[in-house]
Amino acid sequence: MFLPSRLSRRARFIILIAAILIIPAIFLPVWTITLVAPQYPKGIKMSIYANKLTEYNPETGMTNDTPKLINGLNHYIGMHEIRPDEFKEFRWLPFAVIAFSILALLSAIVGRGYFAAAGWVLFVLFAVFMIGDFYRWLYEYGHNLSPQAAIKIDPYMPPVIGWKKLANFTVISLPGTGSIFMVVAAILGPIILWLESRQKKLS
Amino acid sequence: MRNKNQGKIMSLLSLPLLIIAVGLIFACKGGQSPAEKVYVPPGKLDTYYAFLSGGHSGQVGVFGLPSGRLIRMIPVFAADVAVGWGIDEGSKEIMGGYIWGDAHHPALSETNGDYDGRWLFINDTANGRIARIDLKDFVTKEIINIPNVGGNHASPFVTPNTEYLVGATRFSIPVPNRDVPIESYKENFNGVIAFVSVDKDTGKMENAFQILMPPYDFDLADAGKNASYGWAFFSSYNTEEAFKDLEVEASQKDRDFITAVNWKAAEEAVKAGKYKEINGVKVIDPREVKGIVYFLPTPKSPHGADVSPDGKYIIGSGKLAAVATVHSFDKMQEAIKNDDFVGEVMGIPIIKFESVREAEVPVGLGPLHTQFDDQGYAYTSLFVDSAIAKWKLGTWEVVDKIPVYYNIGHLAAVHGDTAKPRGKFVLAMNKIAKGRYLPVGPSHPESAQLIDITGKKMEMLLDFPTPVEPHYGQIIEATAIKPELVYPLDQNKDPYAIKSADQARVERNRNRVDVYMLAIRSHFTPNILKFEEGDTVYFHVTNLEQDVDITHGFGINFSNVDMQIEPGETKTVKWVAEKPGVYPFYCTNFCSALHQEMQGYIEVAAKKSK
Repeated sequence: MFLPSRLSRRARFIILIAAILIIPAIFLPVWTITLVAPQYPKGIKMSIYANKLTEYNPETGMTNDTPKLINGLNHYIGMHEIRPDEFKEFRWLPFAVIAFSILALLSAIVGRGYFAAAGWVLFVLFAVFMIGDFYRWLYEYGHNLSPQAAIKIDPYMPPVIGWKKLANFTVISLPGTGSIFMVVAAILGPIILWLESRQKKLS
Repeated sequence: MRNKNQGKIMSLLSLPLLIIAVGLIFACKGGQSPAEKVYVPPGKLDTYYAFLSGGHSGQVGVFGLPSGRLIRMIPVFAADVAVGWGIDEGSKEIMGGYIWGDAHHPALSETNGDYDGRWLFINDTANGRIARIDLKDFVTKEIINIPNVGGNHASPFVTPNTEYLVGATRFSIPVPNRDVPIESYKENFNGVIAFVSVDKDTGKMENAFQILMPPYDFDLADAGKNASYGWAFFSSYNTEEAFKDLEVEASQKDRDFITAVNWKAAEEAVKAGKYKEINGVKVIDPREVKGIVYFLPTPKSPHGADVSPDGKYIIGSGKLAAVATVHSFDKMQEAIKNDDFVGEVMGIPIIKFESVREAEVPVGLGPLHTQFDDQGYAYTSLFVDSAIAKWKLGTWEVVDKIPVYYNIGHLAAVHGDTAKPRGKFVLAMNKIAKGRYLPVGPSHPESAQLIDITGKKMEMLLDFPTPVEPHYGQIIEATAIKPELVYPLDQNKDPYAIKSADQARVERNRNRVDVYMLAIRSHFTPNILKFEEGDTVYFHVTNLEQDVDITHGFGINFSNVDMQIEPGETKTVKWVAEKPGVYPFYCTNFCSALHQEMQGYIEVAAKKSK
């Protein structure tokens, strides 16, 4: 595979853009889970940020920093209460995001192909790890059901991405804007590779 | 042959086709059927709120228009066990010891002469009061007593910036009230016109000042607007000063009065200290202070005194006459300047009828009350005729009349008593409904009828029954009101509120017990309670929900305790442990799939004998 030892100005500029694109993940939601039901036609939306959770009810326009409504509904099926203080990820995730932004910035400054490639691989591995972590949490919530629940359901796996119906609720799980910016940043990696290889062919 | 036949077929077909085509064009252009005009499809909202008074039910009805759907009855002066109004401590305090009231005239608060959607005021004819309903949550927040006013009927009719609500005597009494012979009515009884101020920010009401009047029966009122800003007008009957058989004795004179009050001048007089205090209220005596009150002679026992949107005309509806009398505000000012008076009563000058009258509009029999639209027309209800007359301001021509079923009292148009009427509809509030609805025995509902006033001819659209008894209504564009759908828990300032389960507790102080209880789907905490015989228990229940329409109830078996607690709200109710035994309590307002399980037990132990 082609990897230039020195990156062009253009490539370094694009990496700089990637460094900037990573930053919004600190303050924009990285994932959203929306619950829609006949009595919640507008849905209840839980937004997961790098350092917190919010729950938004479009009917009242109220936002909570604990998912009170969802917990209230989940208690019927005996699901463990979603408590933001149980997520250790919230403590270090913002710093990880900042670290990757700095790493991208360094790649742009250093301008070495291998350095940038290593950073990119690390970033993608991090993303895969985070999705795995998210999967683990969802699995926990879907399978750790109280035997005392009023309504007994079979353990189930909430969707990581996409939608799934459970009783009267449809659960829709989608990446948030913060993640979308990060995905764009990640895609810039192969684009640089492609641009650089074309440059090489032309010269 | 073939061509000939084809031509025939074509000509035979062409006429019906033409009719269908023309019909379609007219159908599209000529507007909707009555059914389409009032149809609000499932899931869609009405475009107007109509607030109709509930008369001696002491409540206010909230209807959606154009559908005519009853959305809510707001308890005001009377207890309502459905929500615990009059049962919980907070509402008991607001009701001030009375369990009934006669809710007559709803009045929306105004800014610059138009409804602002903040508060709804309503008078109590029975016990001399005015209530304020907050339109943030459609709950009665305050009821004020108006001393010295016997039967507060001509009320509240707000001024254009809600500076004041008015009130006036219907049943004159001695002022201050004391034991005097009823036969000394003329000497010892008085009417009173009252002004109640409203705080701009909080809506809090206060008795500002009053004016002592002859012992007439004051009926309805309207505040001056635009040209007549700073004035208020009150109709009156029984200028005969009868106190026994009013149906005969109070209908003798050809003319009674509309009272014009210059409230700006009254404010000045109060500032100058020209008043005496009676029952804690500043009362101006027109015999001592001139230039505040004038009488406009008006035929015959006028009911409505309604000011046109531009403020230039005051329309008096003599309920025993066949005309509506229009007075000119400019002519009144001129007459006052020229001392064009024909006498005085109690120091109040009577302006010469011919000098103030602008027109007499032959509306029909038994005119009661007038509303306005945005095209310069007035609509007068005719009780005796059972009809509404539409007439033009300025030309004083009656242009249309529509029968209503039956015996219309008041009517309301969209923003129809403001400086900016919107037209569209007029709502007839009829006193008699016989035969209009499925019969339910001798007691009949009242009947409201919605009438389209956009066309040349008025068009009857809809009948709907109303609970007893709308004396007046207010119709406001729905977009002007933005209620809160839950009470934010973090803004709950109730001293007995709890915000989480760990704050739920029982506190005892001798034989007073305070229970700090929470309600959330689908349990109360605490839910097992043990008291001793003779304990007085205050249940402070906080609904911890923050979701729309998740109301919890709190009802105790074998008691008069039941109340409804809205999301984020705290309410307190008192219950005395009178008899040893076990008392279940439960959620009375359906809340969830486990609502039926939302319950608890109270155990009352017998007093230990000492």
